[in-house]
Amino acid sequence: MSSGEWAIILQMGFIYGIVTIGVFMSFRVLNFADMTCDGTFVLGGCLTAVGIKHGLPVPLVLIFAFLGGGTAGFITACLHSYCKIIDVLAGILAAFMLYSVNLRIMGGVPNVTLDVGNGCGIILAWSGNFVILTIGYLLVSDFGLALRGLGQNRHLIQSYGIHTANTIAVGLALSNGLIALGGAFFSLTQNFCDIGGGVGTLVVGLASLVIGEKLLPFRSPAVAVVACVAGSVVYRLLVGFALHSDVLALRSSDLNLVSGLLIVGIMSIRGRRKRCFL
Amino acid sequence: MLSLKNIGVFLGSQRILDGLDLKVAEGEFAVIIGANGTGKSTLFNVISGTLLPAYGETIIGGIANNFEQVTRVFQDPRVGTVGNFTIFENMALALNRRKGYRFIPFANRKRRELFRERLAILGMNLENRLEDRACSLSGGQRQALSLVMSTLGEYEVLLLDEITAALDPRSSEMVMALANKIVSAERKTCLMATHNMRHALDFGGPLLVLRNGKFEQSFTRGQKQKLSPSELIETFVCS
Repeated sequence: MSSGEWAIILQMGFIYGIVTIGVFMSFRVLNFADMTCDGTFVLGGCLTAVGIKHGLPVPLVLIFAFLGGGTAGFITACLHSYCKIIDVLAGILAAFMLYSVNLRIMGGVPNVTLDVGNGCGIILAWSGNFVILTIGYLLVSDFGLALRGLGQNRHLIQSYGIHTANTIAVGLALSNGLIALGGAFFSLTQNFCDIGGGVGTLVVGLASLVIGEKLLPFRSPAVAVVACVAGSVVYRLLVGFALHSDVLALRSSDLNLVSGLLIVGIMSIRGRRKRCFL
Repeated sequence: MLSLKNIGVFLGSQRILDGLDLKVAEGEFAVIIGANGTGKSTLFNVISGTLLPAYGETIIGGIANNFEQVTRVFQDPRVGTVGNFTIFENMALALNRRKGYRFIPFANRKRRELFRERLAILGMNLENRLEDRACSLSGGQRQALSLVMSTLGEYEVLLLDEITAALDPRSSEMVMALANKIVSAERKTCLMATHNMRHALDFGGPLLVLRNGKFEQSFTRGQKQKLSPSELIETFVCS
């Protein structure tokens, strides 16, 4: 692989690392199988594309993307807590509805191109570090303990006087905000946003999560956040190697198959030891 | 002090509690017995504020609906503790009960010392296993941990909901003795539900029999001492 390709792998690893931290927040911390992410990833992307097209500065656009994703997560949480829809279905419904919302935002066209040049690498690096530090700190705080406790033992948390519906809403808003932020960076670096770009976000996030847990099998939640990004970079490397291997003779259209098989492989060798975090 | 006045709870058309009155003085340890389905758990849910009764008043420490001052040990130690949390994390979670969870790191030296001190009361060496996960403890140890967790913060009323029901006879005796030790040391108002007639007679002060949605029979401490477990069983079988 050329040095340019290595840079892309690292960049994509970081972008999807932020997404993976979001997936980690819902799937591991809150123990909430949240399927909203396929929709929120695109939501972040199209908010960015439209924002840039209207001449807004990049940092402001990123904040909008985060808030937009947070709102989507909040809606999923409300569907779950107040309309009593089970977690998986609540997420699927929210993602389904987001498709229309995303099309509206993009003005009815399925893809938008934008041009921001190559200045986003620095912002990406800073934002990535900021997210790791913030979420890492959050999880080792008293509030983080309550969030994690909620995912593990809702009954006990309720008896401790914690408002479960509100806490789930905060957790999911954070989770989806991060995923939308990932989507925003994806648009910025690829210079386009496509309505179908979110398909498989969850699968990639989960794959990175599982790889990260294998790489850094420590109980500390702060380490687990770093592991998400590390797992994401390694995932990109593995995919890169698979697609470049002459022996396998794969094309880029085989990506989903390769990713899926990769997850199945990793999940089956996880074997003997149980999940280390939480 | 705990006082319930004319409590009524209905589940659909089914009457669970009906006109129930209860008064437990401050520092008193009352024991409740009653067959399955007579509403012991419902009563505890009312006192801890997770269930609002259709009518009636709940007064805790002189204030109506003061549920913040109620703490509870559950029947199943897997409910009362978080299995995947370390002992330290469990204790830190319990420390902030009803106080709100802030954005400060949950681990610090002051807390570590407090937790070690509290766990030392158990005499199970748990104070030296703060980093072990709760799921690695035995059922008895885990229930003892949940007992310490429940009595960690501030409270006025302690509810013990069949705390030995999920344990083997030996652990059950041990946990009951510990509960008694903690209750007598803390001198707080305590209410215990149990199916163990021996425990009902040996521990605590007044004994109340829950039947048909209210307390139909009660024994003072003095009357209790003249009863045997088999006589006690008869009192609530022949209703």
